[in-house]
Amino acid sequence: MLTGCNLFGSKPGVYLSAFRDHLGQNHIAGLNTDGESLFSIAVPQRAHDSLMLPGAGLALFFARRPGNLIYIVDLARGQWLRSLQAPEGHHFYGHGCVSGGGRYLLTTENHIADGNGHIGVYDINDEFRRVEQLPSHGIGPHQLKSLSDGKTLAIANGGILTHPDKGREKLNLDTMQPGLAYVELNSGKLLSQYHPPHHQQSIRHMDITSADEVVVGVQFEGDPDQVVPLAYTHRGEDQLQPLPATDASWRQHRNYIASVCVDADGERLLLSSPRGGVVSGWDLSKRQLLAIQTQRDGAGIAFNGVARRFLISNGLGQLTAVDQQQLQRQTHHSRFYQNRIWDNHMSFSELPTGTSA
Amino acid sequence: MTFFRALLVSTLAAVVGCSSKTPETAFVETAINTTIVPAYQQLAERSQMFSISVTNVCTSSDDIQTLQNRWHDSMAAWQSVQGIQFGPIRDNNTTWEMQFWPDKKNLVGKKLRALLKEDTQLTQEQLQKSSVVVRGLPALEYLLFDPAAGEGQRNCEALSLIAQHQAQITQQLHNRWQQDYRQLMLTPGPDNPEYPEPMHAVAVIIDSYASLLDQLRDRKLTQALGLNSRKPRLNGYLLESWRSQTSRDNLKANLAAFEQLMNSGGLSAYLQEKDHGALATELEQRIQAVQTALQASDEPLFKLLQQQQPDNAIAIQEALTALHQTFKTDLPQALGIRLGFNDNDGD
Repeated sequence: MLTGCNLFGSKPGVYLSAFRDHLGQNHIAGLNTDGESLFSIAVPQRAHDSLMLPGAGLALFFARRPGNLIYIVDLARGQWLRSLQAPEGHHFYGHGCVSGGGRYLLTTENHIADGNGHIGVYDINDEFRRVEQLPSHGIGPHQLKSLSDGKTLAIANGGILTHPDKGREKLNLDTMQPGLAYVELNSGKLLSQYHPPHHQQSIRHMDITSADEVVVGVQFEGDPDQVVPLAYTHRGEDQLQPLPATDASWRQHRNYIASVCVDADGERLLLSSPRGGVVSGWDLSKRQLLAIQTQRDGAGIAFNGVARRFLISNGLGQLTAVDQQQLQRQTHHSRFYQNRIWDNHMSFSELPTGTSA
Repeated sequence: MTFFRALLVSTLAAVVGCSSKTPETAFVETAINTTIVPAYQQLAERSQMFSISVTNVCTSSDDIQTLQNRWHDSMAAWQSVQGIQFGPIRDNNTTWEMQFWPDKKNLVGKKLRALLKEDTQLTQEQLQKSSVVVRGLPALEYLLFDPAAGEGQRNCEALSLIAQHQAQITQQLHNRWQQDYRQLMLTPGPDNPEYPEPMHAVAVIIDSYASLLDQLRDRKLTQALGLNSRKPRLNGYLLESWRSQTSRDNLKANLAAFEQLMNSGGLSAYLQEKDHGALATELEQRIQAVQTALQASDEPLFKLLQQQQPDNAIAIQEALTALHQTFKTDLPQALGIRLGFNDNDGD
């Protein structure tokens, strides 16, 4: 059925995602653009997001709270090489990004003793040596992205305080202060910070266009019957700009956005809501909701710019491809993996031509 | 969503010819044919009956009492599908088109009053442009049971348009179940966009009825009993269908739906086949216990709470909590079903 044709794309590229199997074991996995397994490795801590360092041929997987590991996989050999460990008294939040012209790996971290959010800075060229620690300027930093200048970080501070001793319990729902913070990489200085209208709109996930428009997804911690906007954009305005949709449309997302994914042109945006069992597709340039699709337990979304399609992962084991323009499901590019409960996020990266994957 | 419908059809074409019925597919087929589709059919028929009744009342051949009874019928039919919140009803948030609830801010009353105040003739177009809260069963309830709604031509226009809208969307839901969604659920496979394996269809049914139990336990009584508040206070206005004082009838219809799923719907038989006969018996007993509590009084729950007599409501709540535990925890565990991984434990 798969002979020769590229299911997922047409040039070398890799999809990365964590999954849990039917027995409860956590894994990290890589797929080629045909959807075939490059590696699948059982790991001790549940991983969350992932990141490819194409130049180094390394795939990174970040443990989610309260985990303290980053798994580093050699893509060519499909081998787990080593792990980075969060410094004493810290844990990771499951996300990271690269900044500083590809030199530094940045991670969101919790300093457990005082609950302050930290950004760990690791030198990729020096064996991932931890060289710096910046404040995230908020509690519960989650996803972060680098602006195109390579000097500015956009950080989603979810605002929620947790402590490993209390599991995943949320400790400050009455007083939380989520926000989108812009922080200077070199100094750690807070450049600006924007808060959502309701203090319980936890900003957790984000993506960024090539023109530095930031899109953030919200998880609302307030009254479950209240309907609030669940995605905002920001690019230089005085406030976060809500994406316009009717209450009924937001209601379908059940106050919870898992992944935010924009295409390379900044035209299309996908938001996943496993609670609502939907993925919504948006025209980002026109700020318009295009469609809401059923996607049971759907969470991870990756954009493959070469094949011009999005791939959506879900807890049923499905990877569903939709085309970039119309967001139509592409049956022939979708696949089902038995006993793979795909975890929250998926990433895609092109690989330099000639790479073995 | 039209593009989504198109893909259903193409998927069906691809999987026709699948044979060998698993116990899972057998259960799903029984549940669909004896419970799910008939429930949507009944909803469509009763909505149609209500719409006809409105015409008769507005031309003065029936009295308002008849129309109220027809509304009770429609509402009971809706309560029977509250546990079937997957498939066509998920498109366009149709649930709200049927029933906007909870309505803590009394949006139904406020928006309808505003709509009734306008003096131009009410049109379907106007109704569709208005808030979704004025188009559902609670809007009809307001017009039929709330003294503030008043009477007259304007009310008749509103009743008639909402009833037509309800008849139309419930017919569409039933048609879509008949046309493609039934087949989609019965033909699991790797290319099926929603059901890659037979167990996923079982899981969707269990998950959806479990979500109704969440609603029953956490919304239908908890809020009116003040159990979720720091300063507990009885408030009958937070009950579902407080205007018609039929909260108890709604709960009875919900529980009848669970009973139906167990018996004619085939869940009991499926559990027995899977060597979980004891669990089936326990579920039936717990359903019965809620029904016994519901039958312990004839007084409307609204009246009891307004008279500061919460005992019966608390007894119902306790029986519901016990059923919730068995259905939502023990049942999925026995069947090896995970009710949403990213859904329940995201980050």
